[in-house]
Amino acid sequence: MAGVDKCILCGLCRQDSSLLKLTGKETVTARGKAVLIKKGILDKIFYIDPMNDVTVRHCPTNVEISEEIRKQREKMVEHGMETKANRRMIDNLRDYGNPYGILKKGEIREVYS
Amino acid sequence: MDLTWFEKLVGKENISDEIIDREIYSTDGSQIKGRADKVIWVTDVKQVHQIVLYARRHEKPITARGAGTNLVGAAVPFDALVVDFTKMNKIEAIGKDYVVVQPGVVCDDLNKALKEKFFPIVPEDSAVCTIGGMCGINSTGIYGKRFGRMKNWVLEVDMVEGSGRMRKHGSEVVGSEGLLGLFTKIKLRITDRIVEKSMDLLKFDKIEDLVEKVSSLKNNKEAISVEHISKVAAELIGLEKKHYLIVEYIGLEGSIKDHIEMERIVNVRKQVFSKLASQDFILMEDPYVPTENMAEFLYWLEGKSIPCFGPIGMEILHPCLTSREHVSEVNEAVSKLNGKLGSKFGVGLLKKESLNEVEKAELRKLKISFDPVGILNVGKVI
Repeated sequence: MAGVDKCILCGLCRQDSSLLKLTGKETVTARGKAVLIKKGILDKIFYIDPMNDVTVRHCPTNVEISEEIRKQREKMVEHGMETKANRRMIDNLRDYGNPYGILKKGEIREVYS
Repeated sequence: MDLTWFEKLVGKENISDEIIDREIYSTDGSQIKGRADKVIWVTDVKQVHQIVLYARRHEKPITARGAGTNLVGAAVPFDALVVDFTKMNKIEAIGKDYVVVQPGVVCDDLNKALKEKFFPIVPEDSAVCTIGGMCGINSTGIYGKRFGRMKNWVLEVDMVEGSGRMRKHGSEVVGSEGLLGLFTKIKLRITDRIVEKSMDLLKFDKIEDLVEKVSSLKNNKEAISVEHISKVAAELIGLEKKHYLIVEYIGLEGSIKDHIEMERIVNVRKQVFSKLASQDFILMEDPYVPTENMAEFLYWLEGKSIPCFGPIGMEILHPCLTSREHVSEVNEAVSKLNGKLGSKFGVGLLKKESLNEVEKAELRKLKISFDPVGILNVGKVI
């Protein structure tokens, strides 16, 4: 299995993403995750279940993106780093007792878990 | 730029100027990095039209995107609005000999839906590539020898031109790489599904024998696909060190008739690039080389230890390279042999030299009439 640096952005992993069919957005594909990891943009990576929809069967370079996500998490833990989303959730939990912050009646907010 | 205006038009969930989306949509299969200003996931023609009018008014570039698998940078934006067609993926009508689709329909999904009918332009990445993208670059596919290119199968396209005008066109706009307008509906000719197929798997020691066989198959209409795997590529992917030809026939002319065996061979062929890419041959080129010079080109590749494969029956090969540094060397060899660059994946950013100045001037003239402000796919092709 290869690391994220081997991702050639071919997009063949789009066929492995059931979430892409629902959302239509590349952020949920392995290619999308690879771009974000390479750029060090980890907010949405940190909260993705590594086994959820990122298991890739058609990657020509055999990038194991779920393993890459795990590695990134480990690095963040080792270095005491946290994402903005994580910080915000902790603050909200402390201030409002829930991870979302102030919610209007009936409001639903996006959360990555 | 007014984000609220876009949110009203397409809904909050279908527009983003967040860094995560801008990063992901700043590149495509070419790995060239551009800059996306916003990403918009369109769902109907009205939205596409309004976005084009807005962009024209504000002189804001637009880059259309299907699956983003293009290998020459055709979907790379430069400070542009990326208009993603993934969600415009409805098959609107299936007739006896035609189908009407939105541009975001994936090629394999179309063929699944067609059941006993068949859309015969099937690129290697048919599991992900969209009909809109295929129209954009005038794609061909594994059966291109028999069925040609998208141009041969497009009956009509609905287009929002760069001027904002909405018009129907024939196949003359196929291959315009997003320079003239955005496709919103495509009517395609379809044919009957191929029921009876057979295959030959041929091995050669000498390049001359291989090329002679390719020449002999040139006028054989039953041979719908003539694919090659070079000796260098074969060795790298763990096959016996020979030159291979995989010939697919309509009918029973081929010696292999067992469907499981044929599927096994097709899978080997499909995995060639994957296996080469995993050994760092990550760049796939697409030169056309006339059959009479093919042997010389194959010898040249072999001498340089460059693995190659591809639809040799269409006089196209895919030399696979480890870095862009070697591309110019291949281009030079192709030009010397009266070949042509960018014969399959389009022109985009990387194959501009494949068009001569006369062709570019004609395209510029056409662009001015379709896209007078010059907002569509800026920096590409011309």
